[in-house]
Amino acid sequence: MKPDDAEARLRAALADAHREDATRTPPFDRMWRAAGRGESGRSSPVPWLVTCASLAAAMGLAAWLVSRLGPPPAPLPTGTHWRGPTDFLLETPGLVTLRTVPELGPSSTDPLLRPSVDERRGTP
Amino acid sequence: MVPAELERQIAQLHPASFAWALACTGWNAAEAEEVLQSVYLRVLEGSARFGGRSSVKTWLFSVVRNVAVDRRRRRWLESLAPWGRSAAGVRGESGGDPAEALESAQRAAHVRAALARLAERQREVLELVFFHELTLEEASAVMGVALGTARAHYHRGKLRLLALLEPEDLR
Repeated sequence: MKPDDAEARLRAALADAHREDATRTPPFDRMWRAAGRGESGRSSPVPWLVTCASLAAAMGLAAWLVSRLGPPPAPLPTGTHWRGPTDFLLETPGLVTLRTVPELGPSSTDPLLRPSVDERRGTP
Repeated sequence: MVPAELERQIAQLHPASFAWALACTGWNAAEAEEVLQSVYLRVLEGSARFGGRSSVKTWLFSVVRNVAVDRRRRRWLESLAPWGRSAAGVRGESGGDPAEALESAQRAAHVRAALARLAERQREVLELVFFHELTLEEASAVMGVALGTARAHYHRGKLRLLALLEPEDLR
């Protein structure tokens, strides 16, 4: 098929596709007059208004629900801070000593701190 | 107020404008009529004004295309809404009618079905060049694309449409 031949055939095919157009074309005068009266054939704005109103209502409801929930819950304890319910069984008397550094009193061998004879007798 | 001369030219172009609107709406006659009605309203309101930079036909066709694209976009958005109309209702007439007995009507349906399978830009440029007798430059102005882009769509569309059409569709 030559290029010109192909174009001629496509032209004819498109003419076929538009064969019924003439019978369906509305009269110009009617459409022009309707346009002059402000009729556009535009779809109604009502669905858009309903959409906007629905969205606003949904957002308001969501905000109200969030405000009713109160303060956010305390964060869950992590694994490192978890204490088992039977941990008290492990609290042995010696554990307190092990956890803290013992405080030492004055040395009994220090001559400066050793009480005098009078002090030991209880006389002033 | 539209000058009388412009109104006369628009009236003269009315059948071609309607045919172009049909092509832009997938051969949906009701939709095409609404598109053209909106176009005339824009012209009368002055929101679509002929600047004299091109022919009246090129300008009017570009307005028709813009309105059709705008309406298609709006319908698509509406179809997303819960009460949205189905796409089938919008493009219901684009397919062929199996009950049609006449050979020419069948051929027309085949061509329309083949056109519907093309990319939108390819379909537009073929319509404008082969049916509305516009040059590629005028078609590119209507489509709002560069001349090179229109030429690429034209060549690709031509090859694809020839491949899609049956031999009996090409008389």
